[in-house]
Amino acid sequence: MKKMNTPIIISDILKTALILSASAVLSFLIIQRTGEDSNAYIFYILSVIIISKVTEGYLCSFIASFLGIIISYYCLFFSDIHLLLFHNGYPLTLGAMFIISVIISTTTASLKKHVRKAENREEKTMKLNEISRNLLSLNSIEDIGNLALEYVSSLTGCSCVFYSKSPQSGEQGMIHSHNPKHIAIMNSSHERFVAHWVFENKKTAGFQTDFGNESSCTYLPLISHDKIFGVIGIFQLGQSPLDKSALDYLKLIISQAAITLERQYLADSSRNILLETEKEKMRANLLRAISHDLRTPLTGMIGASETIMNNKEQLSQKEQDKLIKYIYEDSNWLLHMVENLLSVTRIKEGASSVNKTLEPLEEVITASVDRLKKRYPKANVQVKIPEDFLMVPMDATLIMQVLINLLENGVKYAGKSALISLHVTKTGDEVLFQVADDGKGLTFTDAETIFEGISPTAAQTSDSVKGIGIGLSICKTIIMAHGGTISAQNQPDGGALFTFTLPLEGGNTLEQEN
Amino acid sequence: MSKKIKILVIEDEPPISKFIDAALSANHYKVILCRTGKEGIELISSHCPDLVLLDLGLPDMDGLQVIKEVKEWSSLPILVVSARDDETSKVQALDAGGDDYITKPFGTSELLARIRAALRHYAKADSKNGQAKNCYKAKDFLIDFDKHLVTVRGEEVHLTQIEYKLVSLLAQNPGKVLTYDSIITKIWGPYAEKDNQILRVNMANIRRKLEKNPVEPEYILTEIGVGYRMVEDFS
Repeated sequence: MKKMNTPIIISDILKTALILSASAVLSFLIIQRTGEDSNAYIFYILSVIIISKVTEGYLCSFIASFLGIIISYYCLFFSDIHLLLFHNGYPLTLGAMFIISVIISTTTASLKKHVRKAENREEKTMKLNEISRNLLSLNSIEDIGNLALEYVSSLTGCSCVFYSKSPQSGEQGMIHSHNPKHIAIMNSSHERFVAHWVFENKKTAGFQTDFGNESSCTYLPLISHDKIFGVIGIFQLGQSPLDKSALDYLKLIISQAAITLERQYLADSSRNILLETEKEKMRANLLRAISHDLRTPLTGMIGASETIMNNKEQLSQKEQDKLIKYIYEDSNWLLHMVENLLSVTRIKEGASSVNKTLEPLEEVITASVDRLKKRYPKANVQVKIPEDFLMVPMDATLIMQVLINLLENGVKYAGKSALISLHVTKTGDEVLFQVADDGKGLTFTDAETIFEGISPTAAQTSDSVKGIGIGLSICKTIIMAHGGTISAQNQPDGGALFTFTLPLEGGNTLEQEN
Repeated sequence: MSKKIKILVIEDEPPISKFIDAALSANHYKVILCRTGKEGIELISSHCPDLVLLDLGLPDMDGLQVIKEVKEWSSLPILVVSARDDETSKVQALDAGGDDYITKPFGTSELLARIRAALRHYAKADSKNGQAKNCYKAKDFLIDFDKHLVTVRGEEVHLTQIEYKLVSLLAQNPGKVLTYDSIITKIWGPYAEKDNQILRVNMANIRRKLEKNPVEPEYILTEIGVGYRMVEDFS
């Protein structure tokens, strides 16, 4: 508190003057009334104590002690007993009083200082607690970095930058800037290199340090358990340097942020492991289902062709035609299967990452229905889509695969001439696709396990409905990768109903232009 | 027909070339088979086939290169055979000068239909010598290029300038797939942004004006991820 504000000084002087004059008047009156001088000293001491209590620092109470002596002196001098003044050792008493009051005022002042320090410390601890609580409540690296950056930036009053990975990996730092010029400087290759150096060496670098002294930012590593979780750069060129307490506080915030980041990385990696096992399980399921479903038609084809080759003479033309037709059907089915599997390879490694582009809904629907009609010319599909032109973000090939699988599922289960309806509606921020048929519907166990990748009703599987399992499990994989949901249920009046949604984020309805 | 139509098949996979050979021969085409791009180019100049069936995945060179080299000096129709799920290569082949594509796996009937269509285009383009026709007709859909008049089911359709340009561009190449990029270049100019959204919005509007049911279009067909195709002209 070396630099005191002028208003505080003025108010302190006023307070001092007021209290002193009040005590002077009071003691003057009392002395006149009682003729007792000891009361004057009491008022004097009291006023000094009050002044040291209500003003800042030593100065005012010190001046007050000094003035008080003079005032007391005049009080006594103007009272009736002033004649006694130079006898009885009054100067000695006044001198002792002066010393006492100085001691009291300094003690009070230093006590106040301690109290203020303690309060300060408590406030900081509270703030730090709040920071760590806030940091812990976040659950993404980006948010944590952002919040830490916000705290550091408001604490130091400087522009700041945060890197969660080395800038040499192409990482763009998050920047909180108080000056647009700083952003360009902080993004310069030199600054980025110094930040990279910090990642490599886990040491503070940049402005006013051993390495990269000529840069404009000081880069501090976020370290926990000897591992670096990020780097914070504080723009310091041309700014007033940070004092020690702010620096200590900064270090606390940074270590707090480092711990939070470490926790987040651990949480992320454990979640990834869980996801990986889940995917592995799914893959194993799929493989098992595939090998079963592929073997069946292949056996049929090998058998049929072998029969024809070896028994040409014995077989009638009609029987041969029948066998050839089997081969044709089975190979078509195999092809369909392979197409399904190929579509899965379009989903890139890692969770929910498909190549989404905005596609006109009607074109995708048309193409899917078209493909189905090619395979099943007699299929009876009724389509209803929203009137408005709608662009939906998706991988068109994959969504077509889903639609074809679901429609085909209907054709296979409900019969070739069954009525299959495809209704698409827009609900808020997603698009809802409903594929329904008027067949027998699903059995209860079907509805639960139907997307799991294994033919649920394996025991009853006949040739006409084989392979449904894989098709639906692929549907699920595709829809999940798009960030949508898929479910199967029965309609109240019988017949299966498959529903899936696609999120619209980013896509928007383009109004008809005239 | 006194002279058999010659078709050159450039395909490196024996099972497929064998089946194509059998199917085409059975339908009275004369088939020449070869397995590499280099051989194919030589055969085109020495045998002058009427049509080339080209697989894009060849052992010695990229199928696209074959198209580019042949199209430099010849306008003979090239029908590209491509694998499904591979829109980019289809688009590249069409933009390089390929006349049409057929996706693996295909049936005999589809193959024959595509071959007939490609030959028909070629014959038409040849006879008119590049001159644009003055009308297009498919079922009850009619465009009069001279009068800028579009009628469907006997009623006039009001199209905006851009919409008319789009429809007439497609109608001048009936049966042929025009890629998004080639349409954008022709309608909006070579420096237009290659963002096909505006094109697709316009096509959606056209579909609403022309088709009875936009979900089951009769006249303008969508080749998703590749482009658009107007149904063939039956005038």
